[in-house]
Amino acid sequence: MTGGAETAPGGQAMSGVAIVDYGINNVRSVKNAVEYCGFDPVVTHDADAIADASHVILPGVGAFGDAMSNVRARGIDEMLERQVREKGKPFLAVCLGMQLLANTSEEHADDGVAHRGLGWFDADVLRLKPNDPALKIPHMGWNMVGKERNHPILANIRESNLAFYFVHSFAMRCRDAGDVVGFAQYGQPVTAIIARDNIAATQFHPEKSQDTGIELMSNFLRWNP
Amino acid sequence: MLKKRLIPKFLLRDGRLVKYTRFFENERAAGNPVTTAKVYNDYGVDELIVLDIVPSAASRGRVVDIIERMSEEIFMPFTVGGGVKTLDDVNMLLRAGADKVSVNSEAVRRPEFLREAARTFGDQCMTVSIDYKRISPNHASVFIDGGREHVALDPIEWAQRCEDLHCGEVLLGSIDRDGTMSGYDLELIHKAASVLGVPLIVSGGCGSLQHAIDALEAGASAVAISSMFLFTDHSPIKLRSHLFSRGLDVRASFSSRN
Amino acid sequence: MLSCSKCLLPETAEATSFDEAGSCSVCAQIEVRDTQINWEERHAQMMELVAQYRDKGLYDCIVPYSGGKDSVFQLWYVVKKLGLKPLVVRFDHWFYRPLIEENNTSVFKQLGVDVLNFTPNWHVVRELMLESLKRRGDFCWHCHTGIYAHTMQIAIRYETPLLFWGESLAEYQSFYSYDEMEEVDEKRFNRAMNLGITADDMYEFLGGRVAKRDLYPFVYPPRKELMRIKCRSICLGSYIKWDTKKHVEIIKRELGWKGQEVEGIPPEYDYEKIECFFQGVRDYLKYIKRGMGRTNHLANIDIRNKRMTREQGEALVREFDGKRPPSLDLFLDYLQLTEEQFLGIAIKHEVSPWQFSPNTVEPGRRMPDMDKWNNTQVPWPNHPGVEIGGGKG
Repeated sequence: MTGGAETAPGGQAMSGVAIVDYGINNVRSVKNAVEYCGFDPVVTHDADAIADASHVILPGVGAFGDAMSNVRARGIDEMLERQVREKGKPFLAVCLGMQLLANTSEEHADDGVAHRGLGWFDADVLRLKPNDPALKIPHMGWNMVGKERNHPILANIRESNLAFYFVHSFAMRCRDAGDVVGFAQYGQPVTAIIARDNIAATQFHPEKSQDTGIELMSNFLRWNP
Repeated sequence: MLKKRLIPKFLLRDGRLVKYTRFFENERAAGNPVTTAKVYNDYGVDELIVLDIVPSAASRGRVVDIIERMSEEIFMPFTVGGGVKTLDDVNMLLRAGADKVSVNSEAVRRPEFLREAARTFGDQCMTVSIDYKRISPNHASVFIDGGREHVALDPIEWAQRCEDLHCGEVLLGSIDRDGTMSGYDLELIHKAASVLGVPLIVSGGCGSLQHAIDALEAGASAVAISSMFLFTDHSPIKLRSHLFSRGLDVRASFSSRN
Repeated sequence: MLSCSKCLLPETAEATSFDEAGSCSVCAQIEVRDTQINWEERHAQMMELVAQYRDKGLYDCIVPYSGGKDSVFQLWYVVKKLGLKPLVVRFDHWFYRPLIEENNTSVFKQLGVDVLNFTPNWHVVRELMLESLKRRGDFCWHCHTGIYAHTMQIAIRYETPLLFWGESLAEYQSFYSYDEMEEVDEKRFNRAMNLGITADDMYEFLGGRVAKRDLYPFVYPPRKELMRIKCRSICLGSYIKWDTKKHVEIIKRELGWKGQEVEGIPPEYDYEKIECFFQGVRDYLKYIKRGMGRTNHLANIDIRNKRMTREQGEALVREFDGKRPPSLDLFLDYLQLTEEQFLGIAIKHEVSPWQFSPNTVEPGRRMPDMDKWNNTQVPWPNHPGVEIGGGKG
């Protein structure tokens, strides 16, 4: 696999991949995965760097409330609104990053008032409640994802290989079924992949999902919707 | 549903892989940890466990370097442990690239440490490693400090206590069976799996494909394997395709691509 | 022990699985090769790829070459059909039979190519053979890693990024399937070539008996280096439909390539693995560990290509597989082992559920050129013995 800078439709060279840094732990694996695919990522929360990028990745591990505070404090919400929703850059959100795209999350909600997310998808983040008491939280380990529809990030991946690594206690529930690309099963359906227009997001960690995960990341990095 | 996991276990000594029998006998060189990890990654194992068996301030730096280098080209979860005593230790390993940190002796000496670490970093980041010997046919007892110090604790009761202290996972290892390739301690595995709510990884004794099947059917969520992969032709590829074709709920093997 | 219901592949084969009807994944892969791949499209893809690399440097591509039927065909194809200028890269494993040298001289003269040959230090190779035999029941580590790793190093040194290997692994095993178009890269090296042992691992295993720099030929170059030269390391068998018998006919006719008898297989297979005089020992080890010899492998190919029935194959396997090769005597001398030690090591690596019975083994036929196989005596004062060692203290 060889990589390199992609060109924008106008012919000007884009400088690559921006991994959004909003103060959460461990972007190392995501960065390594992007480099492995042949690209040169920057880990940044700088508006110019993100504006220069051809592709944007929003990783995430940790608590929703803290993450949204950081995102707002650094103006990342506005930056992403401009670069992703207005300018249409291909965008991949991972794990907590995916959850931030929802309207609300009930994680650690104070006084029953849920935290507000970016609201890019008509969805809420709810605690996992598998219908089998033997199934423990968090949902942690390798699980299969069933495809609801095709998507460029799943190109060239056989259905029998759609196993990914999950670590989470909350999951997104989308009101619009059309937003969902794939579900996992864990005593309940778990929204695993969502997508609309130039935006895609995974609940699992592609950067921890070996060949299949790298293939997904590679597909994303070559996606020009 | 979550797949059962096949996990090679790495023992580090001075930055090199080693393997013993029953923790102390018959030391053999087992290779370079970074390149071996890459090989296993290409074989398609589910996770890696890396334990520093002679931990010190100096060896911590070496372990961090090894994990960082592994993280460059290997994209699956790592559990790293060995001499983890403080929150700083945990943090250092997580930042180096570990997804989970294993604690053993310190959890026994200071159980509160486990609770603190789980609260600070998340339950899912904390694996408790418990080594035991059968003192007599019906009596198993925990050993800490790399199997050197006997503690009057029943391994299953201790595992339950660790679950109460919010560990995410338990790694239960038989010292008697370690490196013998004579089979896992199925009786204990069955008992432990039936009382624990958190996932159980079992270690010590795997020498054949059937041993792995037996342990998973006895209730283990994952099998940790060392000797069989190092010294026999039963590779992780063979193991996975065998388990898959026998109907066990593991990730599909390569040939299922057809 | 179960075997495929269509061919004769046993369940002990490495990556293979059987479907509900009991037929193996390799048979399924060949079915795909024959019915689901658009080979014209694949050929067109290859021509597009070749156009990107033609005339860009001193050489258009590298052809790794042993002198066996596949590499001779690959070289012929690259020169005559693709019209490319290759650098032929040969790794000398020390076990070439005399006829190979004759064949090579003839082939190289006729095709007109530059040839690089690398022969690694025998003292090092001997250590590697013994160590890999002890740890994996397979002494060919130096050969596989040498051919794959060293050739990639040459690609970097000569800035020649396009490499033409032979058949896809999907032809005989299930590490990859036909629609994957595997790259011959480090992942494939780790999965299917190096027995799961890297040069760095070997260094640890040898416990100081071999210096690190003496193992450099066996080190797979870093991924970043290969990406820098935009390396494409491809299987010719991903782009043209592989047909061994047809290829042999071509090289015999076009180049006068000569075959010869090989230990342990029916004499009509005079094209198979003729290049290595320890092929018989290698096959014997596989038989001890997994219950399948080379006749099993060859019969399977013919069965899958509809040139033989399963019953005919079974009869051949019964007649030829599992015999003790005379080359074993030379092998034991090379590694200073007794036959008891050899069998002891091999049996430790049996793959379940196969069990070898040493008492039922018959002697195999001796090859006519065996007297010419080199047996220079080299003392080995620090022979490590047969136990797996503790490495550096």
